[in-house]
Amino acid sequence: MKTRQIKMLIRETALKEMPEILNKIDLSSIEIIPAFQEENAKPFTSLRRVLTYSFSFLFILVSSVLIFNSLSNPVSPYEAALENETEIIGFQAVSATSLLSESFTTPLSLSMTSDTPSILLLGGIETTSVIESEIDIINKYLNMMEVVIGNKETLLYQSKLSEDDAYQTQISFKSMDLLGNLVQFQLYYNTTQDGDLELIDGIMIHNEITYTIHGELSNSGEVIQSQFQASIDENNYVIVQDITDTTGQKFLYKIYENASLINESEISLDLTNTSIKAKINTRFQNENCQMNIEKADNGAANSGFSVNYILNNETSLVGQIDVSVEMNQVSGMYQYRYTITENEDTDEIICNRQDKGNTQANDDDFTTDDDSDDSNDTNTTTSQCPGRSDNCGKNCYNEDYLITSIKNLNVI
Amino acid sequence: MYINFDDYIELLKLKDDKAFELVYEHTKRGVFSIIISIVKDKSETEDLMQETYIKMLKNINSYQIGRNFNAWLLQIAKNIAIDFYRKNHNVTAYDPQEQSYIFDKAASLENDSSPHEVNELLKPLDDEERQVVLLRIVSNTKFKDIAKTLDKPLGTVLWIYNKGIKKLKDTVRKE
Repeated sequence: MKTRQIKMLIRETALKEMPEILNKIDLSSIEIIPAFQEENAKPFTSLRRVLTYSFSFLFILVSSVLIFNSLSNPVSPYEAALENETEIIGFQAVSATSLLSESFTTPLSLSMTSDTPSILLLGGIETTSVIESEIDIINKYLNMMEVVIGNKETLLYQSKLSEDDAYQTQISFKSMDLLGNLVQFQLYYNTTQDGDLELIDGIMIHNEITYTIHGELSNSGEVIQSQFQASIDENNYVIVQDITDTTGQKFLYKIYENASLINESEISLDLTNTSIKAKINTRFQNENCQMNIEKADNGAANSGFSVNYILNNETSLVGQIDVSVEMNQVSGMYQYRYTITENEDTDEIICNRQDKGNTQANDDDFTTDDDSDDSNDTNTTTSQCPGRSDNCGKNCYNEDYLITSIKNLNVI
Repeated sequence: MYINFDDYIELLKLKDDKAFELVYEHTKRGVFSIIISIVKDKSETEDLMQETYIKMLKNINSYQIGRNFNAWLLQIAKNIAIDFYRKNHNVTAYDPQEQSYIFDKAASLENDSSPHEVNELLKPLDDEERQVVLLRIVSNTKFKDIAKTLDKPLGTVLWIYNKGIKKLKDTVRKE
Protein backbone atom coordinates (compact mmCIF):
# COMPACT_ATOMS: atom_id res chain seq x y z
CA MET A 1 0.00 0.00 0.00
CA LYS A 2 1.45 3.36 -1.03
CA THR A 3 1.67 6.40 1.21
CA ARG A 4 -1.09 8.12 -0.71
CA GLN A 5 -3.40 5.15 -0.20
CA ILE A 6 -2.64 5.06 3.51
CA LYS A 7 -3.40 8.76 3.83
CA MET A 8 -6.60 8.38 1.85
CA LEU A 9 -7.67 5.47 4.02
CA ILE A 10 -7.09 7.46 7.18
CA ARG A 11 -8.83 10.55 5.81
CA GLU A 12 -11.87 8.68 4.53
CA THR A 13 -12.21 6.61 7.67
CA ALA A 14 -12.01 9.68 9.86
CA LEU A 15 -14.46 11.71 7.82
CA LYS A 16 -16.99 8.90 7.85
CA GLU A 17 -16.92 8.92 11.61
CA MET A 18 -16.99 12.68 12.03
CA PRO A 19 -20.28 13.81 13.58
CA GLU A 20 -22.13 16.82 12.20
CA ILE A 21 -22.93 19.11 15.07
CA LEU A 22 -23.69 22.38 13.32
CA ASN A 23 -27.43 22.04 13.74
CA LYS A 24 -27.08 21.01 17.35
CA ILE A 25 -25.58 24.28 18.44
CA ASP A 26 -28.08 26.94 19.29
CA LEU A 27 -26.24 30.19 18.85
CA SER A 28 -28.94 32.25 20.48
CA SER A 29 -28.54 30.37 23.75
CA ILE A 30 -24.82 31.03 24.01
CA GLU A 31 -23.80 33.88 26.24
CA ILE A 32 -20.71 35.54 24.94
CA ILE A 33 -18.47 36.73 27.72
CA PRO A 34 -18.27 40.50 27.36
CA ALA A 35 -15.09 42.24 26.38
CA PHE A 36 -12.88 43.45 29.16
CA GLN A 37 -14.22 46.75 30.53
CA GLU A 38 -11.77 49.59 31.00
CA GLU A 39 -13.58 50.87 34.11
CA ASN A 40 -13.29 47.54 35.82
CA ALA A 41 -9.74 47.28 34.81
CA LYS A 42 -8.41 50.14 36.85
CA PRO A 43 -7.85 48.35 40.17
CA PHE A 44 -6.44 45.38 38.29
CA THR A 45 -4.25 47.67 36.21
CA SER A 46 -2.69 49.17 39.27
CA LEU A 47 -2.11 45.71 40.68
CA ARG A 48 -0.71 44.68 37.34
CA ARG A 49 1.57 47.68 37.39
CA VAL A 50 2.90 46.72 40.79
CA LEU A 51 3.45 43.17 39.63
CA THR A 52 5.10 44.38 36.43
CA TYR A 53 7.53 46.56 38.35
CA SER A 54 8.24 43.76 40.81
CA PHE A 55 8.94 41.22 38.13
CA SER A 56 11.00 43.70 36.11
CA PHE A 57 13.13 44.41 39.15
CA LEU A 58 13.48 40.70 39.84
CA PHE A 59 14.36 40.03 36.21
CA ILE A 60 17.04 42.73 36.18
CA LEU A 61 18.45 41.39 39.43
CA VAL A 62 18.60 37.79 38.20
CA SER A 63 20.03 38.86 34.84
CA SER A 64 22.72 40.89 36.55
CA VAL A 65 23.71 37.94 38.73
CA LEU A 66 23.81 35.63 35.70
CA ILE A 67 25.87 38.10 33.64
CA PHE A 68 28.27 38.61 36.54
CA ASN A 69 28.60 34.85 36.93
CA SER A 70 29.18 34.28 33.25
CA LEU A 71 31.87 36.99 33.15
CA SER A 72 33.63 35.72 36.22
CA ASN A 73 33.32 32.07 35.22
CA PRO A 74 33.92 31.58 31.51
CA VAL A 75 33.37 27.83 31.50
CA SER A 76 31.18 26.90 28.57
CA PRO A 77 27.61 25.96 29.51
CA TYR A 78 27.32 23.37 26.80
CA GLU A 79 28.65 19.83 26.71
CA ALA A 80 31.46 19.95 24.21
CA ALA A 81 31.38 17.45 21.37
CA LEU A 82 35.13 17.83 20.99
CA GLU A 83 36.76 17.50 24.38
CA ASN A 84 40.39 18.40 23.96
CA GLU A 85 43.00 19.99 21.76
CA THR A 86 43.72 16.80 19.83
CA GLU A 87 40.06 16.39 18.95
CA ILE A 88 39.65 20.03 17.98
CA ILE A 89 42.70 20.09 15.74
CA GLY A 90 41.89 16.66 14.39
CA PHE A 91 38.27 17.50 13.66
CA GLN A 92 39.18 20.61 11.69
CA ALA A 93 41.84 18.84 9.68
CA VAL A 94 39.73 15.76 8.98
CA SER A 95 36.56 17.65 8.10
CA ALA A 96 38.38 20.06 5.80
CA THR A 97 40.21 17.22 4.07
CA SER A 98 37.05 15.21 3.77
CA LEU A 99 35.24 18.11 2.12
CA LEU A 100 38.19 18.59 -0.17
CA SER A 101 38.34 14.95 -1.17
CA GLU A 102 34.64 14.97 -2.01
CA SER A 103 34.98 18.14 -4.06
CA PHE A 104 37.97 17.32 -6.18
CA THR A 105 38.15 13.61 -6.80
CA THR A 106 36.39 11.76 -9.55
CA PRO A 107 32.87 10.66 -8.75
CA LEU A 108 32.95 6.98 -8.04
CA SER A 109 29.44 5.89 -7.40
CA LEU A 110 27.96 6.63 -10.78
CA SER A 111 29.27 5.63 -14.15
CA MET A 112 28.88 8.89 -15.96
CA THR A 113 30.75 10.89 -18.49
CA SER A 114 33.14 13.51 -17.24
CA ASP A 115 30.74 16.37 -17.82
CA THR A 116 27.85 14.66 -16.08
CA PRO A 117 27.13 15.89 -12.59
CA SER A 118 27.34 13.38 -9.79
CA ILE A 119 23.64 13.75 -9.21
CA LEU A 120 20.78 11.85 -10.74
CA LEU A 121 17.22 13.08 -10.43
CA LEU A 122 15.03 10.03 -10.40
CA GLY A 123 12.04 9.75 -12.66
CA GLY A 124 13.06 12.79 -14.67
CA ILE A 125 11.76 15.16 -12.03
CA GLU A 126 12.77 18.77 -12.26
CA THR A 127 14.55 20.56 -9.46
CA THR A 128 11.60 22.34 -7.96
CA SER A 129 12.93 23.32 -4.60
CA VAL A 130 15.90 25.20 -3.26
CA ILE A 131 17.15 22.06 -1.56
CA GLU A 132 17.09 20.03 -4.73
CA SER A 133 18.92 22.68 -6.71
CA GLU A 134 21.57 22.92 -4.01
CA ILE A 135 21.90 19.19 -3.47
CA ASP A 136 25.43 19.24 -4.89
CA ILE A 137 26.66 21.37 -1.97
CA ILE A 138 24.58 19.45 0.54
CA ASN A 139 26.05 16.22 -0.74
CA LYS A 140 29.59 17.49 -0.11
CA TYR A 141 28.71 18.17 3.52
CA LEU A 142 26.89 14.85 3.94
CA ASN A 143 29.95 12.99 2.66
CA MET A 144 31.98 14.84 5.25
CA MET A 145 29.43 14.26 8.01
CA GLU A 146 29.51 10.53 7.43
CA VAL A 147 33.07 10.59 8.71
CA VAL A 148 32.98 13.06 11.60
CA ILE A 149 29.59 12.72 13.35
CA GLY A 150 27.75 9.85 14.97
CA ASN A 151 28.46 7.68 17.95
CA LYS A 152 31.49 9.04 19.84
CA GLU A 153 32.58 5.53 20.68
CA THR A 154 33.41 5.07 17.03
CA LEU A 155 35.22 8.40 16.62
CA LEU A 156 38.80 8.24 17.82
CA TYR A 157 41.33 11.08 17.68
CA GLN A 158 44.72 9.98 18.94
CA SER A 159 47.83 12.12 19.25
CA LYS A 160 51.16 10.32 19.21
CA LEU A 161 54.81 10.50 18.28
CA SER A 162 55.08 10.82 14.55
CA GLU A 163 55.78 7.65 12.61
CA ASP A 164 57.12 9.87 9.81
CA ASP A 165 60.55 11.27 10.68
CA ALA A 166 59.90 14.41 8.67
CA TYR A 167 57.24 15.54 11.15
CA GLN A 168 57.17 16.06 14.90
CA THR A 169 53.57 15.20 15.61
CA GLN A 170 50.94 12.83 14.33
CA ILE A 171 47.21 12.77 14.94
CA SER A 172 45.53 9.57 13.93
CA PHE A 173 41.79 9.62 13.30
CA LYS A 174 39.54 6.60 13.01
CA SER A 175 35.82 6.41 12.49
CA MET A 176 33.22 4.13 11.04
CA ASP A 177 31.25 4.91 7.90
CA LEU A 178 27.62 4.06 7.28
CA LEU A 179 28.57 0.67 5.89
CA GLY A 180 30.47 -0.23 9.04
CA ASN A 181 33.84 0.23 7.34
CA LEU A 182 36.86 1.62 9.14
CA VAL A 183 37.79 5.13 7.97
CA GLN A 184 41.29 6.40 8.69
CA PHE A 185 43.04 9.76 8.36
CA GLN A 186 46.63 10.45 9.37
CA LEU A 187 47.75 14.02 10.06
CA TYR A 188 51.48 14.71 10.31
CA TYR A 189 52.73 18.20 11.12
CA ASN A 190 55.53 20.40 12.36
CA THR A 191 55.13 23.58 14.35
CA THR A 192 57.23 26.74 14.22
CA GLN A 193 56.94 29.90 16.27
CA ASP A 194 56.30 33.24 14.57
CA GLY A 195 55.81 35.89 17.22
CA ASP A 196 52.56 35.11 18.98
CA LEU A 197 51.62 32.62 16.33
CA GLU A 198 52.46 28.98 16.23
CA LEU A 199 52.49 27.94 12.60
CA ILE A 200 51.50 24.44 11.63
CA ASP A 201 52.57 22.84 8.38
CA GLY A 202 51.89 19.28 7.51
CA ILE A 203 50.12 16.71 5.43
CA MET A 204 46.97 14.69 5.73
CA ILE A 205 46.81 11.22 4.23
CA HIS A 206 43.50 9.57 3.48
CA ASN A 207 42.90 6.63 1.14
CA GLU A 208 46.49 6.96 -0.09
CA ILE A 209 45.92 10.55 -1.21
CA THR A 210 48.00 13.29 0.40
CA TYR A 211 46.63 16.74 1.10
CA THR A 212 48.55 19.81 2.22
CA ILE A 213 47.65 21.22 5.62
CA HIS A 214 48.51 24.67 6.88
CA GLY A 215 47.48 26.19 10.14
CA GLU A 216 48.06 28.80 12.78
CA LEU A 217 47.91 28.56 16.53
CA SER A 218 47.69 31.79 18.50
CA ASN A 219 49.19 31.88 21.94
CA SER A 220 48.30 35.45 22.74
CA GLY A 221 46.04 34.32 25.52
CA GLU A 222 42.93 36.20 24.49
CA VAL A 223 40.39 34.88 22.08
CA ILE A 224 41.08 34.55 19.08
CA GLN A 225 40.71 33.55 15.53
CA SER A 226 41.51 30.13 14.36
CA GLN A 227 41.92 28.87 10.89
CA PHE A 228 42.91 25.66 9.23
CA GLN A 229 43.40 25.12 5.52
CA ALA A 230 43.51 21.91 3.49
CA SER A 231 44.61 22.29 -0.12
CA ILE A 232 44.93 20.34 -3.32
CA ASP A 233 46.59 23.28 -5.09
CA GLU A 234 46.68 27.04 -4.69
CA ASN A 235 43.27 27.54 -6.29
CA ASN A 236 41.37 24.64 -4.76
CA TYR A 237 41.13 24.44 -1.04
CA VAL A 238 38.90 24.38 2.03
CA ILE A 239 39.30 26.74 4.97
CA VAL A 240 37.83 25.93 8.35
CA GLN A 241 37.78 28.50 11.10
CA ASP A 242 37.04 27.76 14.74
CA ILE A 243 34.41 30.28 15.82
CA THR A 244 33.47 28.54 19.04
CA ASP A 245 31.84 30.82 21.59
CA THR A 246 29.94 30.44 24.84
CA THR A 247 26.92 29.02 23.03
CA GLY A 248 28.65 26.06 21.47
CA GLN A 249 31.35 24.59 19.28
CA LYS A 250 31.10 26.15 15.85
CA PHE A 251 33.22 26.12 12.74
CA LEU A 252 33.04 28.25 9.62
CA TYR A 253 33.76 26.44 6.35
CA LYS A 254 34.70 28.04 3.05
CA ILE A 255 35.03 25.92 -0.05
CA TYR A 256 37.07 27.39 -2.88
CA GLU A 257 37.05 25.90 -6.36
CA ASN A 258 39.24 27.48 -9.06
CA ALA A 259 39.98 30.33 -6.64
CA SER A 260 36.25 31.14 -6.28
CA LEU A 261 34.29 30.79 -3.09
CA ILE A 262 31.47 28.35 -3.90
CA ASN A 263 30.01 27.94 -0.43
CA GLU A 264 30.33 29.32 3.07
CA SER A 265 28.63 27.50 5.92
CA GLU A 266 28.66 27.51 9.67
CA ILE A 267 28.61 24.11 11.32
CA SER A 268 27.93 23.66 15.00
CA LEU A 269 28.37 20.41 16.85
CA ASP A 270 26.15 19.08 19.56
CA LEU A 271 26.72 16.15 21.86
CA THR A 272 23.59 14.25 22.88
CA ASN A 273 24.26 11.28 25.10
CA THR A 274 27.20 9.78 23.22
CA SER A 275 26.21 10.93 19.77
CA ILE A 276 27.59 13.92 17.91
CA LYS A 277 25.06 15.75 15.77
CA ALA A 278 25.65 18.72 13.49
CA LYS A 279 23.76 21.82 12.52
CA ILE A 280 24.60 23.61 9.27
CA ASN A 281 23.67 27.24 8.73
CA THR A 282 24.16 28.50 5.21
CA ARG A 283 22.54 30.53 2.46
CA PHE A 284 21.03 29.04 -0.67
CA GLN A 285 19.77 31.41 -3.35
CA ASN A 286 19.40 34.28 -0.87
CA GLU A 287 17.52 32.09 1.60
CA ASN A 288 18.85 31.18 4.99
CA CYS A 289 18.96 27.45 5.41
CA GLN A 290 19.40 25.52 8.61
CA MET A 291 19.91 21.77 8.51
CA ASN A 292 19.97 19.53 11.56
CA ILE A 293 21.87 16.41 10.71
CA GLU A 294 22.23 13.17 12.60
CA LYS A 295 23.10 9.65 11.72
CA ALA A 296 20.03 7.45 11.77
CA ASP A 297 20.80 4.63 14.11
CA ASN A 298 19.24 1.36 13.08
CA GLY A 299 20.55 -0.96 15.72
CA ALA A 300 24.18 -2.01 15.46
CA ALA A 301 25.06 -0.23 12.26
CA ASN A 302 24.24 3.26 11.11
CA SER A 303 22.46 3.12 7.83
CA GLY A 304 21.77 6.69 6.85
CA PHE A 305 21.13 10.25 7.84
CA SER A 306 18.10 12.12 9.02
CA VAL A 307 18.11 15.76 8.07
CA ASN A 308 15.59 18.35 9.18
CA TYR A 309 15.82 21.60 7.34
CA ILE A 310 14.25 25.03 7.58
CA LEU A 311 14.42 27.53 4.74
CA ASN A 312 13.82 31.02 5.92
CA ASN A 313 13.21 33.96 3.69
CA GLU A 314 9.94 35.82 3.94
CA THR A 315 8.25 32.71 5.23
CA SER A 316 9.55 29.55 6.83
CA LEU A 317 9.53 26.33 4.91
CA VAL A 318 10.41 23.10 6.62
CA GLY A 319 11.35 19.79 5.12
CA GLN A 320 12.89 16.48 5.81
CA ILE A 321 15.60 14.56 4.03
CA ASP A 322 16.18 10.88 4.65
CA VAL A 323 19.48 9.70 3.24
CA SER A 324 20.30 6.07 2.79
CA VAL A 325 23.31 4.30 1.33
CA GLU A 326 22.71 1.78 -1.40
CA MET A 327 24.72 -0.03 -4.02
CA ASN A 328 24.59 1.05 -7.63
CA GLN A 329 23.95 -2.22 -9.43
CA VAL A 330 25.69 -0.99 -12.58
CA SER A 331 28.90 0.37 -11.11
CA GLY A 332 28.96 -1.80 -8.00
CA MET A 333 29.74 1.30 -5.95
CA TYR A 334 27.74 2.76 -3.10
CA GLN A 335 25.69 5.91 -3.52
CA TYR A 336 23.37 8.12 -1.48
CA ARG A 337 19.64 8.06 -2.04
CA TYR A 338 18.03 11.30 -0.87
CA THR A 339 14.33 11.19 -0.11
CA ILE A 340 13.24 14.80 0.21
CA THR A 341 9.85 15.59 1.70
CA GLU A 342 8.62 19.13 1.43
CA ASN A 343 5.06 20.38 1.34
CA GLU A 344 3.73 16.85 1.15
CA ASP A 345 5.75 16.25 -2.02
CA THR A 346 8.44 13.63 -2.00
CA ASP A 347 11.29 13.51 -4.48
CA GLU A 348 14.19 11.16 -4.67
CA ILE A 349 17.68 12.00 -5.85
CA ILE A 350 20.71 9.79 -6.23
CA CYS A 351 24.05 11.40 -5.40
CA ASN A 352 27.66 10.41 -5.47
CA ARG A 353 29.11 8.91 -2.31
CA GLN A 354 32.84 9.05 -1.79
CA ASP A 355 34.44 5.72 -0.97
CA LYS A 356 35.65 6.04 2.62
CA GLY A 357 36.96 2.71 3.78
CA ASN A 358 37.20 -0.84 2.56
CA THR A 359 37.53 -3.03 5.62
CA GLN A 360 34.94 -3.68 8.26
CA ALA A 361 35.63 -1.93 11.56
CA ASN A 362 35.65 -3.80 14.85
CA ASP A 363 35.80 -2.79 18.51
CA ASP A 364 39.57 -3.15 18.66
CA ASP A 365 39.95 -0.38 16.09
CA PHE A 366 38.61 2.12 18.60
CA THR A 367 40.63 0.92 21.57
CA THR A 368 43.69 2.99 22.41
CA ASP A 369 46.97 1.48 23.54
CA ASP A 370 46.29 2.77 27.06
CA ASP A 371 42.93 1.08 27.32
CA SER A 372 44.49 -2.32 27.56
CA ASP A 373 46.89 -1.66 30.40
CA ASP A 374 45.34 0.91 32.72
CA SER A 375 42.05 2.07 34.03
CA ASN A 376 41.89 5.23 31.98
CA ASP A 377 38.36 5.23 30.66
CA THR A 378 38.87 7.86 28.01
CA ASN A 379 38.98 6.70 24.46
CA THR A 380 41.52 9.23 23.28
CA THR A 381 45.13 8.96 24.27
CA THR A 382 47.26 12.06 24.51
CA SER A 383 50.58 10.77 25.72
CA GLN A 384 52.11 13.83 24.16
CA CYS A 385 50.44 17.15 23.66
CA PRO A 386 50.03 18.05 20.02
CA GLY A 387 52.36 20.67 18.70
CA ARG A 388 55.04 19.83 21.25
CA SER A 389 58.05 17.63 20.86
CA ASP A 390 58.19 16.91 24.58
CA ASN A 391 55.63 15.64 27.03
CA CYS A 392 54.03 18.66 28.66
CA GLY A 393 53.54 16.66 31.79
CA LYS A 394 49.87 17.55 32.05
CA ASN A 395 46.98 15.27 31.60
CA CYS A 396 45.09 16.68 28.64
CA TYR A 397 41.83 15.81 30.32
CA ASN A 398 42.64 18.04 33.25
CA GLU A 399 39.89 20.63 33.27
CA ASP A 400 42.14 23.65 33.78
CA TYR A 401 44.38 22.55 30.98
CA LEU A 402 41.44 21.97 28.69
CA ILE A 403 39.96 25.39 29.23
CA THR A 404 43.28 27.03 28.58
CA SER A 405 43.83 24.92 25.52
CA ILE A 406 40.49 25.73 24.00
CA LYS A 407 40.82 29.42 24.73
CA ASN A 408 44.24 29.61 23.22
CA LEU A 409 43.61 27.40 20.27
CA ASN A 410 44.07 29.21 17.01
CA VAL A 411 44.63 26.64 14.40
CA ILE A 412 45.09 27.46 10.81
CA MET B 1 -10.37 27.49 -0.24
CA TYR B 2 -8.39 29.79 2.01
CA ILE B 3 -10.36 32.01 4.32
CA ASN B 4 -9.17 34.64 6.72
CA PHE B 5 -10.98 33.84 9.94
CA ASP B 6 -10.27 37.31 11.27
CA ASP B 7 -12.75 38.70 8.72
CA TYR B 8 -15.53 36.83 10.53
CA ILE B 9 -14.73 37.56 14.15
CA GLU B 10 -17.01 40.57 14.42
CA LEU B 11 -19.84 38.58 12.84
CA LEU B 12 -19.24 35.74 15.28
CA LYS B 13 -19.57 38.21 18.13
CA LEU B 14 -23.00 39.02 16.71
CA LYS B 15 -23.78 35.27 16.55
CA ASP B 16 -24.19 35.44 12.81
CA ASP B 17 -25.37 32.03 11.56
CA LYS B 18 -23.62 32.17 8.23
CA ALA B 19 -20.32 33.28 9.70
CA PHE B 20 -20.49 30.52 12.28
CA GLU B 21 -21.35 27.94 9.63
CA LEU B 22 -18.44 29.03 7.49
CA VAL B 23 -15.99 28.92 10.39
CA TYR B 24 -17.39 25.56 11.47
CA GLU B 25 -17.07 24.03 8.01
CA HIS B 26 -13.46 25.13 7.74
CA THR B 27 -12.39 24.01 11.18
CA LYS B 28 -14.46 20.94 12.04
CA ARG B 29 -11.92 18.46 10.69
CA GLY B 30 -9.15 19.90 12.81
CA VAL B 31 -11.33 20.01 15.92
CA PHE B 32 -12.48 16.45 15.31
CA SER B 33 -8.90 15.30 14.72
CA ILE B 34 -7.46 16.79 17.87
CA ILE B 35 -10.32 15.43 19.98
CA ILE B 36 -10.17 11.85 18.71
CA SER B 37 -6.40 11.86 19.04
CA ILE B 38 -6.84 12.37 22.79
CA VAL B 39 -10.20 10.81 23.57
CA LYS B 40 -10.61 7.50 21.84
CA ASP B 41 -14.16 6.97 22.96
CA LYS B 42 -16.24 7.56 19.85
CA SER B 43 -19.45 8.27 21.72
CA GLU B 44 -17.96 11.31 23.44
CA THR B 45 -16.61 13.01 20.35
CA GLU B 46 -19.83 14.71 19.41
CA ASP B 47 -20.31 16.28 22.84
CA LEU B 48 -16.74 17.45 22.97
CA MET B 49 -16.96 19.02 19.53
CA GLN B 50 -20.09 20.87 20.56
CA GLU B 51 -18.43 22.00 23.75
CA THR B 52 -15.46 23.29 21.76
CA TYR B 53 -17.52 25.50 19.48
CA ILE B 54 -19.67 26.75 22.31
CA LYS B 55 -16.61 27.65 24.34
CA MET B 56 -15.03 29.31 21.31
CA LEU B 57 -18.08 31.49 20.84
CA LYS B 58 -18.39 32.29 24.53
CA ASN B 59 -14.79 33.45 24.59
CA ILE B 60 -14.68 35.09 21.19
CA ASN B 61 -14.00 38.46 22.81
CA SER B 62 -10.77 37.18 24.21
CA TYR B 63 -9.47 36.30 20.76
CA GLN B 64 -7.12 38.98 19.47
CA ILE B 65 -7.35 39.81 15.79
CA GLY B 66 -4.11 39.06 14.01
CA ARG B 67 -3.33 35.99 16.01
CA ASN B 68 -3.88 32.53 14.58
CA PHE B 69 -7.57 31.73 14.94
CA ASN B 70 -7.28 28.12 13.82
CA ALA B 71 -4.50 27.39 16.31
CA TRP B 72 -6.51 29.15 19.03
CA LEU B 73 -9.58 27.03 18.30
CA LEU B 74 -7.51 23.84 18.22
CA GLN B 75 -6.02 24.79 21.55
CA ILE B 76 -9.54 25.10 23.01
CA ALA B 77 -10.45 21.68 21.59
CA LYS B 78 -7.27 20.17 22.94
CA ASN B 79 -7.87 21.56 26.43
CA ILE B 80 -11.45 20.32 26.47
CA ALA B 81 -10.37 16.86 25.34
CA ILE B 82 -7.59 16.71 27.91
CA ASP B 83 -9.97 17.78 30.69
CA PHE B 84 -12.34 15.04 29.66
CA TYR B 85 -9.55 12.50 29.42
CA ARG B 86 -8.30 13.34 32.91
CA LYS B 87 -11.75 12.79 34.34
CA ASN B 88 -12.39 9.58 32.40
CA HIS B 89 -8.95 8.22 31.58
CA ASN B 90 -9.91 4.68 32.53
CA VAL B 91 -12.39 4.59 29.66
CA THR B 92 -9.67 4.51 27.04
CA ALA B 93 -7.19 2.01 28.40
CA TYR B 94 -4.79 0.81 25.78
CA ASP B 95 -4.95 -2.83 24.86
CA PRO B 96 -1.67 -3.94 23.33
CA GLN B 97 -3.18 -7.29 22.45
CA GLU B 98 -5.16 -5.65 19.69
CA GLN B 99 -2.24 -3.91 18.13
CA SER B 100 -2.28 -6.01 15.01
CA TYR B 101 -5.89 -5.13 14.32
CA ILE B 102 -4.98 -2.17 12.14
CA PHE B 103 -3.02 -4.29 9.77
CA ASP B 104 -5.87 -6.64 9.12
CA LYS B 105 -8.09 -3.68 8.47
CA ALA B 106 -5.60 -1.95 6.25
CA ALA B 107 -5.01 -5.05 4.23
CA SER B 108 -8.67 -5.73 3.82
CA LEU B 109 -9.29 -2.28 2.38
CA GLU B 110 -7.67 -3.28 -0.82
CA ASN B 111 -10.38 -5.81 -1.34
CA ASP B 112 -13.28 -4.13 0.33
CA SER B 113 -13.99 -0.57 1.37
CA SER B 114 -15.85 -1.49 4.55
CA PRO B 115 -15.74 1.19 7.25
CA HIS B 116 -12.99 1.29 9.86
CA GLU B 117 -12.40 3.24 12.99
CA VAL B 118 -9.61 5.67 12.43
CA ASN B 119 -8.03 5.12 15.82
CA GLU B 120 -7.72 1.45 15.08
CA LEU B 121 -5.87 2.33 11.89
CA LEU B 122 -3.48 4.51 13.84
CA LYS B 123 -2.80 2.08 16.64
CA PRO B 124 0.89 1.64 15.77
CA LEU B 125 1.42 5.34 16.47
CA ASP B 126 2.00 6.90 19.84
CA ASP B 127 -0.19 9.77 21.03
CA GLU B 128 1.97 12.52 19.59
CA GLU B 129 2.30 10.87 16.22
CA ARG B 130 -1.43 10.21 16.12
CA GLN B 131 -2.21 13.86 16.81
CA VAL B 132 0.14 15.19 14.16
CA VAL B 133 -0.86 12.65 11.53
CA LEU B 134 -4.58 13.21 12.09
CA LEU B 135 -4.30 17.00 12.02
CA ARG B 136 -2.20 16.93 8.89
CA ILE B 137 -4.01 14.26 6.92
CA VAL B 138 -7.62 14.64 7.98
CA SER B 139 -7.84 18.40 8.34
CA ASN B 140 -4.86 19.48 6.23
CA THR B 141 -3.75 21.71 9.09
CA LYS B 142 -0.54 23.64 8.41
CA PHE B 143 2.50 22.29 10.18
CA LYS B 144 2.95 25.75 11.67
CA ASP B 145 -0.51 25.57 13.27
CA ILE B 146 0.10 22.04 14.50
CA ALA B 147 3.34 23.18 16.08
CA LYS B 148 1.55 26.03 17.84
CA THR B 149 -1.29 23.82 19.02
CA LEU B 150 0.98 21.12 20.36
CA ASP B 151 3.50 23.65 21.64
CA LYS B 152 6.41 22.06 19.81
CA PRO B 153 9.04 23.40 17.42
CA LEU B 154 8.18 23.22 13.75
CA GLY B 155 11.06 20.86 13.01
CA THR B 156 9.95 18.49 15.74
CA VAL B 157 6.43 18.35 14.39
CA LEU B 158 7.70 17.55 10.92
CA TRP B 159 9.94 14.90 12.39
CA ILE B 160 7.04 13.33 14.30
CA TYR B 161 4.86 13.38 11.19
CA ASN B 162 7.43 11.68 9.00
CA LYS B 163 8.14 9.13 11.70
CA GLY B 164 4.43 8.37 11.99
CA ILE B 165 3.96 7.96 8.25
CA LYS B 166 7.01 5.74 8.03
CA LYS B 167 5.70 3.61 10.89
CA LEU B 168 2.37 3.15 9.12
CA LYS B 169 4.08 2.27 5.85
CA ASP B 170 6.36 -0.21 7.55
CA THR B 171 3.43 -1.79 9.34
CA VAL B 172 1.42 -2.21 6.17
CA ARG B 173 4.49 -3.50 4.31
CA LYS B 174 5.12 -6.16 6.96
CA GLU B 175 1.59 -7.37 6.59
